[in-house]
Amino acid sequence: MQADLTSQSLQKESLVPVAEPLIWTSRGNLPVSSLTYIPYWTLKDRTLQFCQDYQAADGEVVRRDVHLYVLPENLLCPA
Amino acid sequence: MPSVAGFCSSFMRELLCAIHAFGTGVSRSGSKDELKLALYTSVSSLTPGATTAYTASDEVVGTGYTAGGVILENTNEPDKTTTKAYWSPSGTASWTEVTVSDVTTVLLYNATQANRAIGIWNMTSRSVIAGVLTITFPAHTANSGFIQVA
Repeated sequence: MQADLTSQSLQKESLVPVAEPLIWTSRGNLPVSSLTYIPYWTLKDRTLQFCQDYQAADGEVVRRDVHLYVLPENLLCPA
Repeated sequence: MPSVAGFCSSFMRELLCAIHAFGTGVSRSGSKDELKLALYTSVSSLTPGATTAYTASDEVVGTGYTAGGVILENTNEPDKTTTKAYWSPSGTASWTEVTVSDVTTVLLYNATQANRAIGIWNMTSRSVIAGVLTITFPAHTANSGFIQVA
């Protein structure tokens, strides 16, 4: 009898692990789904800052990405 | 005293002395200069009036960050309209998988010309945790050029 090798049957038998997106953090690679994503913006002087916090279940921020956008400036007439 | 944002007065003087070359039309010998970005903590006291060159004092320290910072990609040529001149870097400066605390100030400097300072920018003090830090500049157009002279 020919073996049933459809993806459905393989997953049922746990032969193919279900891929879960991971993200690098201060605690190593963690499933994205286990973290709370908190984006926020701030503006100071001539820089716009966009932060992305990833918070673990215990409240610790285990990853923070920071993106800065520097605003244009007139060299002769600074804002 | 915390760092103060703005273009360095020494940089503006050095522009008049043709020391900095942002593009390939270099009247002195050599090609365009290599520009770099360095990060500083809130303890730093860089100011447009007093900062004339890169310094390692109060520069951030951490995993994934090397003293002196990173090279800023620059393939854009300074350009002009009938009323202004402008220039923007062509790329984004970035650090990956970096962990640094209290990043507050960014210094742009000319690594080719004895690390002469160009400008200082402040941000809300922030720690980067096992993450990415990117610095993006405006598009290289007349209306949004990073440096505009008009």
